[in-house]
Amino acid sequence: MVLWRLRQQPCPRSAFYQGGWRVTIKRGNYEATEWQSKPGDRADVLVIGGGASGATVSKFLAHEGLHVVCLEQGTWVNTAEYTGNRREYELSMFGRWHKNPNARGLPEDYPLEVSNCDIDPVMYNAVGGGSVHFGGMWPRIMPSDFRLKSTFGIGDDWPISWEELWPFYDLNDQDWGCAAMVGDPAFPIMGTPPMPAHPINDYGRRFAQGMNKLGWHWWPAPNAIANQNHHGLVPCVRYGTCESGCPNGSKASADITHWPYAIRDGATLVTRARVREITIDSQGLASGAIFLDVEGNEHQVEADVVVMAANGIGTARLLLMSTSNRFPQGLANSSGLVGRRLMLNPCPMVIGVYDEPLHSWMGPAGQNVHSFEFYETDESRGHALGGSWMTMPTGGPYAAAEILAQDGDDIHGPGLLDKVGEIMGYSQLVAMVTADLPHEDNRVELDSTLTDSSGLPAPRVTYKQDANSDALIDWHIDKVGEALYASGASRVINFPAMPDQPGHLLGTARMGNDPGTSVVDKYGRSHDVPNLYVVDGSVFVTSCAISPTGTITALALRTAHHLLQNAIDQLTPD
Amino acid sequence: MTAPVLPPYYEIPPAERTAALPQDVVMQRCGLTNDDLELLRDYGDVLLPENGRAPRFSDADPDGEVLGLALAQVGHRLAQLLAVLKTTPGADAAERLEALQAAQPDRFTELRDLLVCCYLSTPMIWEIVGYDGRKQHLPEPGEAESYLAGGLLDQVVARGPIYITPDN
Repeated sequence: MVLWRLRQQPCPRSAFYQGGWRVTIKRGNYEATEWQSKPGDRADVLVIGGGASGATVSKFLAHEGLHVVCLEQGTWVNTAEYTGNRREYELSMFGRWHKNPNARGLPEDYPLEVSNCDIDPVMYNAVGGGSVHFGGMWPRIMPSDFRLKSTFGIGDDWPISWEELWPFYDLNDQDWGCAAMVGDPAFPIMGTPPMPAHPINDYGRRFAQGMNKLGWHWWPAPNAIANQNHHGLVPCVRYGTCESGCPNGSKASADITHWPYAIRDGATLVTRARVREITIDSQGLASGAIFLDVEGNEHQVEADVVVMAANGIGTARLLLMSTSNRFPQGLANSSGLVGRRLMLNPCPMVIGVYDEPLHSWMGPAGQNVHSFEFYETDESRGHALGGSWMTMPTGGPYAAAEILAQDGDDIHGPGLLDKVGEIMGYSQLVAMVTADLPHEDNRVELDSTLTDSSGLPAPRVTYKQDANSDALIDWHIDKVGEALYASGASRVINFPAMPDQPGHLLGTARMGNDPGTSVVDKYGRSHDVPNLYVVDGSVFVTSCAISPTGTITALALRTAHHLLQNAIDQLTPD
Repeated sequence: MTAPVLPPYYEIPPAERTAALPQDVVMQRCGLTNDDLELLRDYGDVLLPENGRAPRFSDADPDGEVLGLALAQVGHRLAQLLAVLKTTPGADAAERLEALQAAQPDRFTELRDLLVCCYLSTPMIWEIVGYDGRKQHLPEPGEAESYLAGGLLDQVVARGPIYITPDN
């Protein structure tokens, strides 16, 4: 393998790399239409998807000397496309920056068949993937999340413990530019983050005062948003528009924090490359992928190891599309669980309205204060699982109108501006990320008619929110309302479902020790195909109740470390 | 299955996706005419009439600047909604909107939301409601600490860990 060559040591045994420098695949970044390869070309590692998890794996392995090729169906987002500091920002949330790919409708998006789905999944197809579009929330999951079954008798245990993941959270915090305050009593001790926490602003302080009155946990919340110069990021100026791409270059997204470094270290990033199939060799090992460029031309890339990083819907879709005589139900799917157990973290929110100005359009957004007071399961509440809370700005004038509409107001007709003025700048938003139980009927399949712009089958997503989630959401909304009133709110407005949020994509290729009941092992390696790894949210065993990107990428980094450390024993195609 | 109506930015090469598209390009892509823009303003004036300090929709955006920005984002959807309204009975804009609200409330809500968002994105309305957002507010030195002043975190820290450490 390349690593051995770089160390000028003889490769003791053929691992990824056999027989000298034979890879002629062009390095750097280019579009799929420019792809050229020669017979025998083979990358060390092929990564499918250039989002948060794919970038994490690519950056680490490229830095360690492996030749990584990543296929990304989207492309670079020009920072001039970001609307967060422009007049049309709120209009763009209906169009170019809509969180739902079906509404956004960019050619690099693929449609989702969601007629039987209670929550619209959120995703973004670009270099950086969902990290371009996320809020930068950067919490960790709690130790009990790894042992839900043995601690509470709910769901399943993860095949790893919190202690195994914790060091990778700490490493990851450096790469992603985490700004946090150490000492949060909701978690075991963490390493020193690279930056201090952001200001919690007037409204965060208000909420904290209310939580103190009730004796409930809160803490300045961690964000992957810079407040110093760090890894290409610059200090946040609190536009509060993080979720349509940060126009200031402060929010961590993999196109800033990872890809420039991975490319510098020799990775190949092929954009506008839509993967059609993961290929296998005669032994049933993954041998690479077939992909299409925007002109419809088909290309093939070979690799020793294939890493799926296409998100909890995209990875399942591709594995299900990769059928063969050996794997008629889709690749890595002997358990029948590929695509099943989809979890989306239902996300209600409550708006607190105050009588005094709080400048509550000020970011980051991002989160200001978080609480894990009601995260753990407590049977006395009448439901399983729990949720985390986070305060956020309420945004600009149209966001205020949306809140009014939810509260039953007619937002047309006379008097709109007076009503907007009562909300805008005088309110704060508390979002709740709630845990949902894994159900095998909540799943990703291939639709028989709907296709993407390349003619490939679209995913059909089925998700029914269960009674436990309904009860959990009602309970948490009441508790958040209590906290907001304690903080001085004069009224609260409830959103049982937060518009366009969050649709976290989890669980569709779960990890586990038993090949009969899981898709990948505790390092993300397929039980069926030992040189195929999954590193996105698909591997989650249970949903947890946080914004998951920090955990997804910590798991991805752990897989990358494992892959490297065990490369010598890695089975590869002939 | 009918072909999806593509947004105006759909066919723009990635390297050219920067600021808003020119209005004439958007209108051509979406099949919109100047008469259609006038119709949109008429519907906007019905939904958002003059009221005290609040100007009517068309007066809030006299040069059509913000409507142009809206077209660049959602011209395709506005074109679809106008097509629906053209087949909706009514002698004038107000009657057609009323009929649309009764017969197709989702469509009405979609049109209303888009036009309200246009209205609330205009410089005139921002000035009236005192919106000071989308500007840089770099934190002052010591600002983060100031929000935690007075021992705000003391009782949280004093309470100690709240997490459960499971047996592995």
